[in-house]
Amino acid sequence: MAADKNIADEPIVDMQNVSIRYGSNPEVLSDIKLSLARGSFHFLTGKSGAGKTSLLSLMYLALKPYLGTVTVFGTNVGFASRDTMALMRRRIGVVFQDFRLLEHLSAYDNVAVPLRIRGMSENEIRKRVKELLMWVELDKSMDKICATLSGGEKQRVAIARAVINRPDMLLADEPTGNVDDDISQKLMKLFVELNRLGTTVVIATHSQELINNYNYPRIHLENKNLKIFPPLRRVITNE
Amino acid sequence: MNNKVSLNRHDELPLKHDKANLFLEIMMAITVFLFAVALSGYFLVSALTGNWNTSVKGSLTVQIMPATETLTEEEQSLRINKVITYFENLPGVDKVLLVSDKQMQQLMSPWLGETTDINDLPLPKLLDVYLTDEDFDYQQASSGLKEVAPYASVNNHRLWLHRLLQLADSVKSLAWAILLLVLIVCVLSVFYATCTSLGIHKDIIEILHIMGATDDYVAKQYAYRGLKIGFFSGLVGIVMAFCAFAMLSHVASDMEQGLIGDLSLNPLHKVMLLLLPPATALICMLTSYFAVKRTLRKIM
Ligand SMILES: Nc1ncnc2c1ncn2[C@@H]1O[C@H](COP(=O)(O)OP(=O)(O)O)[C@@H](O)[C@H]1O
Ligand SMILES: [Mg+2]
Repeated sequence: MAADKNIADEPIVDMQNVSIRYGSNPEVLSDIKLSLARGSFHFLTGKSGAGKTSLLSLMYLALKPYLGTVTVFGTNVGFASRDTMALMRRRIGVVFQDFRLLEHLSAYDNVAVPLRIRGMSENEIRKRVKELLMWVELDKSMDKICATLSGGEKQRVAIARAVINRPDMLLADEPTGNVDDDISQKLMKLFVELNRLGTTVVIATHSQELINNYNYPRIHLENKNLKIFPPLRRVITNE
Repeated sequence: MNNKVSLNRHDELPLKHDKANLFLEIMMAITVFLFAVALSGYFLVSALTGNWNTSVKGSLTVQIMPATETLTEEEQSLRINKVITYFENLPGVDKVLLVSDKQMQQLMSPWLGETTDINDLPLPKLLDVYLTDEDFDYQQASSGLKEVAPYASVNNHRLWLHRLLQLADSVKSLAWAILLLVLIVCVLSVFYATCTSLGIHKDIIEILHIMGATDDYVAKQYAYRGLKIGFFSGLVGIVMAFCAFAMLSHVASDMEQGLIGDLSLNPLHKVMLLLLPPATALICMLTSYFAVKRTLRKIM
């Protein structure tokens, strides 16, 4: 029982004295500490070039810190084997700023990738992918090759791909930049819903509106450093 | 884990459209063709020399020329004994027997008839030299004999056959060397084509990794491609080889039969050649697989 409680209390992501740099360039982030509790929801803000994408890629294990330790799901990333990291990544959903879809595949196949990697049966995959694509209103375009989709459609494919696995952690890099307002609302609802089901969420965004509308704390990057702001009080409207 | 390969598998990596595929296919087809030719060359030479070997081993014949000047009976037998002693002292000789007059008569009867007395004819004396399984040095025996008894000579048909056998051995070694080289070329070209392809598809592989794919997952897609290319090219190569054999045996059948004998492969050898496409597929598959595993560990 006690052990169970420990695991539940353990942060999903823990960074101690972490510095990031690319090659011999100056450090992007310097000596930061960050701990994300299980089931938390954070916005990630900062000017362009502040290091939002870099911080996220530490969390989805695509970047190793130059200094310090990064612990994800209780595993020290510095000591994890390639296969262990692969298994850890299956618990993380990522929406990239530039989508990074497999352009030569259909929308359907892109969303199916994480499930195929897990070795799920094609029947099960079909059921799940169709359902989700319908939800993001892409069921009409699911057989289209991604290269032919519009920016907004690609973004929705990217988001569908990130959540299809019901990840333990969802990392989204400016996910609502390219979509219409009502779709954007709907996607945020999806993230909130996932968070309610237990997924830890971090969303990098420039949108002050988004931050204002949702009552979540904010990680702000500035001068190679990190500050956490508590949730803004939500303005109570008279609706 | 459920990693079974389904027939309508979806490969995220567009390996089917790799520009290097055609190069690989042509390379593999030529490779398999050369391999098949070298292998059948080996089989044929082995089969041919197998016959020669049995006729060369066992015994040889030595002839002692009839004297041009008159020799006494005693001098004549002295000459013969000298040759017999010479051979008996050579390594690899079991025993030496003189072919009797009666046997000579039998040997010659088709030409001379039963009635002729061969003692009246200037016929050479023949010795049968029986060999043990040990190595017997024909060259040395015949050149040594020239010094000891210039009037005697080793049956040179066998000597010639022996030289041919040595040539055949060189041809067989050459075939082995070609087989080995071809195999190395095959493995190396698959290896480097795979490395190149990994570089081309680096972005996709990175995305797959971030989605949680293991190196194994990526390697399997390459292994599958290797399997297909290997098998397809293997088939093309083997068909080319069989066409070449058909032409060759057509030409051979127009020639004199005797020496060359049967130029066709026996069924066992044909089956072994037919195993080349699956063998190539297997080699290409394993090479691709390990090339991916190794390279990914290094570069990503
Ligand atoms: N792969 C890379 N190689 C070198 N420098 C990089 C690389 N990625 C990002 N940077 C640099 O790191 C800094 C932070 O970039 P990034 O994390 O993308 O910021 P943000 O996402 O907040 O715009 C920038 O100065 C950028 O030029
Ligand atoms: Mg960015």
